Amino acid sequence: MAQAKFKIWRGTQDQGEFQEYTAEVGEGMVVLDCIHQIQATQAPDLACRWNCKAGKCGSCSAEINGRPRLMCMTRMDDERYITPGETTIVEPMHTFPLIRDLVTNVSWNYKINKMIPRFQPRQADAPDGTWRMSQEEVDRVQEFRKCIECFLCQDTCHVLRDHGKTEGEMFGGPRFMIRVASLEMHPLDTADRLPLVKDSLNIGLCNITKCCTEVCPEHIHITDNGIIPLKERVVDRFYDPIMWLFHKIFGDKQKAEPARTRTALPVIHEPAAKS
Amino acid sequence: MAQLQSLPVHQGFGETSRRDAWWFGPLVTLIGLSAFLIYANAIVLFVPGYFEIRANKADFFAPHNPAVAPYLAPFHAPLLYDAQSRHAWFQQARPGFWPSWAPFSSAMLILIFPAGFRLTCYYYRKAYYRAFWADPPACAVGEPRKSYWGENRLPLVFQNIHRYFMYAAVIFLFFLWWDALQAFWWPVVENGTVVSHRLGLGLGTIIMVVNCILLTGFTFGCNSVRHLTGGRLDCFSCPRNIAEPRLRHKFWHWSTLLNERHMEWAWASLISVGATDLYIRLCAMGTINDIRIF
Ligand code: SF4
Ligand code: SF4
Ligand code: FES
Ligand code: FES
Repeated sequence: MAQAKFKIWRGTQDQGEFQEYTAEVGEGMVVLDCIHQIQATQAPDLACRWNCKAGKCGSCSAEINGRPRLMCMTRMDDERYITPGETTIVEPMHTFPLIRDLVTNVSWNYKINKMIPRFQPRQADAPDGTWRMSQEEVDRVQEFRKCIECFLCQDTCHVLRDHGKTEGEMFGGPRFMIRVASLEMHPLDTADRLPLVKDSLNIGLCNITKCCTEVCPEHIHITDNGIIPLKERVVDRFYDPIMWLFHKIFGDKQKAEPARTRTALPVIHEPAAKS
Repeated sequence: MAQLQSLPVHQGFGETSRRDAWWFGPLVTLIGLSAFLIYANAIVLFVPGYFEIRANKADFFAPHNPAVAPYLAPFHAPLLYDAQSRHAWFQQARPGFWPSWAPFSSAMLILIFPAGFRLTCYYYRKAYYRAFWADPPACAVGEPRKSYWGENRLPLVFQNIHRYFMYAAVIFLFFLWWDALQAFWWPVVENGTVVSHRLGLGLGTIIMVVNCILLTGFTFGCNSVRHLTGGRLDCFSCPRNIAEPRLRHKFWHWSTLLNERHMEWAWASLISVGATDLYIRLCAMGTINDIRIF
């Protein structure tokens, strides 16, 4: 077993220091394992959040050697993030207020989340109150559903991190752009969130430098598939004179249309009813 | 605990806990884009001629100086004004409205369009905001300035006109392909005059065609193309779109395939435009000789 040295932030935002610890690193161990070992052997009061240890709950976000990462998904032998033989620095996320050690207060995100109108499906397609959609139409939004709300993208986004746009002319952040995209591009949804995206969540503050995409542990193409298509929709509605004319003449997008009036629904092969 | 301090905030330029070579990517971008900009400006401002290979290499604009190869350097494409080139759309040396004392190059009239297209491209925006403006230089690395307006206000709100440059770029593609096709149609020069044309192929022809392919891949992977072909729709099979069943989904899907490699297309086409231009100019100046295949 090899020994690995760690420097971990202990304390609060204004009062604390980096403390050094060592951990015995075995085959396949991740940073979170080392943190647990340090808790068990050297620092029982070290505060950190975790839950699933499988990259699915989104609670163990931290900054490992300066890179926003899930601790449970960063292997000690991954040389992109951990330099062998060197001390590994573990810090809490910088963008959110620190509670203690590695635990931050991410409640600002929940406030933003509440600003987004929820899913509002059109009238049901079939008399039994169900809808029909095809796979092509849901592929796009399914990608966004993978989000585990680790808020690593919010942590890295320089608009929040360096420019502190969390109030006033504030930026909703990449995670919520993805949430809006997942609703706006939904084939059944009827609500209109574009004014919100432009004026309240301030999509214009994003300069598409793609750090959110780089850190997303779920590999969601946040910028290319979420933010840029939303920016293009905002251009359609608010900046492009030709599109504006087009909408005036031909009516606004399909959202404003009544539920579809097809007589025959696509055949769905259901198991034959038992007689 | 010994001396207590506050959590390092990394707000100064380049400050970070990162220990990898985060500066490498932006540096390469900075060098690559600067090299291209220097080349482009030098050509536009100081080299009005040498956009095609002519018989008299010493004096490009000499009268009765016919082209001996059908190439056209892409910085001059489409070639609007030239007194003798077969590629020119107007057979005169310069437009009437151009002041006679001012230096003129046909490239000056057109380069604003491809330049604007790349300047407002979502990929290039990322590249130069990071490399030239350090906003941010790299992820989780401190920035030189505190104030920030993003693309919400002037001047950057103008990035929203990207799609109009895209329309222009699609039109330019037709001209570029037309010039590339013409590069198969070689002049037969006898005693200093062009007597006929015949099918032929030179290294320059191949370079021009490859350049067109790369530019096409770049242009159709544009995020605005992706949006306008189908990305705007929430529902590809809803009543309005039923007349073209799933066609728009297909267009959107193809554009998305190109878009996934938009950065690679951007660099490949940038390099190919520069290299094609340089190749044809060097041949035109007589520095190197084109290879004629048949
Ligand atoms: S692409 Fe936009 S949202 Fe993502 S990190 Fe950069 S500025 Fe923030
Ligand atoms: S989008 Fe990715 S990085 Fe952002 S919260 Fe969701 S999973 Fe985390
Ligand atoms: S512990 Fe659940 S994501 Fe790391
Ligand atoms: S050309 Fe790059 S996004 Fe349009």
